[in-house]
Amino acid sequence: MKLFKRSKDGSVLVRLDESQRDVLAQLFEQSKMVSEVDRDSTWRLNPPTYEDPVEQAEYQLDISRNYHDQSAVNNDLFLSAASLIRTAKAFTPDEAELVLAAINKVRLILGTMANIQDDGGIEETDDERILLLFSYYQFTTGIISYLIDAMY
Amino acid sequence: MSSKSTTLPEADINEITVTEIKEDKPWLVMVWNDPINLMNYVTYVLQKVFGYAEAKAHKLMLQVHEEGKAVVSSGPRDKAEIDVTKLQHYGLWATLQRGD
Repeated sequence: MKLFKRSKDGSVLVRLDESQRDVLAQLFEQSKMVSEVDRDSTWRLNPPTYEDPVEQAEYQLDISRNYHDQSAVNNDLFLSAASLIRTAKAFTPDEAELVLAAINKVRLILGTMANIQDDGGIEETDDERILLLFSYYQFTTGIISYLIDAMY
Repeated sequence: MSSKSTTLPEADINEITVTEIKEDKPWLVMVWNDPINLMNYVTYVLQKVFGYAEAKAHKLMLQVHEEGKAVVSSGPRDKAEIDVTKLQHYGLWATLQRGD
């Protein structure tokens, strides 16, 4: 069964079971915590905007003067997604976009921590931590694929 | 209006010309290949952010995948910065560089 289904009014029906909702919500909440303390695992969430280091430094200064903190934006995204995924029977189009972006950011963190290779897999290992991270990564890959299909 | 004319030293004229040319060049928004972002996700985001038809978005995604990067849009610096911010919101590895 498809885990998400688009309705005629543009909303996206959520057919996740309770355990899937709970795992996703916990991944969102843990991603928020990781993004606050672990820059090595979360660099993909805040890549440099400019390739030129001088221009990047100027841009960063400008942002810190005039705009928001990107990590705070990510934190809000994760918290909103966790709240939605626990209870929503259907997403509005905007909510579906929010959850989609949040799941992908969880994948960016998990994929970085598991050191995903170019072929989408991981290096052979007996490290249970890496294997667990990779299993969650694969779980979120399945979820996001269903959601993308529903949003087309 | 004064009819009096002034002549800039040659070095100054050259400097102004170079600056004007630099400012006129469009800024390029690049998306870089990443093993984590799914191909259909990248295609979806390019359609969503730029309003591209699926065929164009798919072609750009393949260019990213096969060549390591692709220019997905270009324009004035302010607009290009907004484009990069939108792409990064979705988690794509996007950067900005001056056009040649």
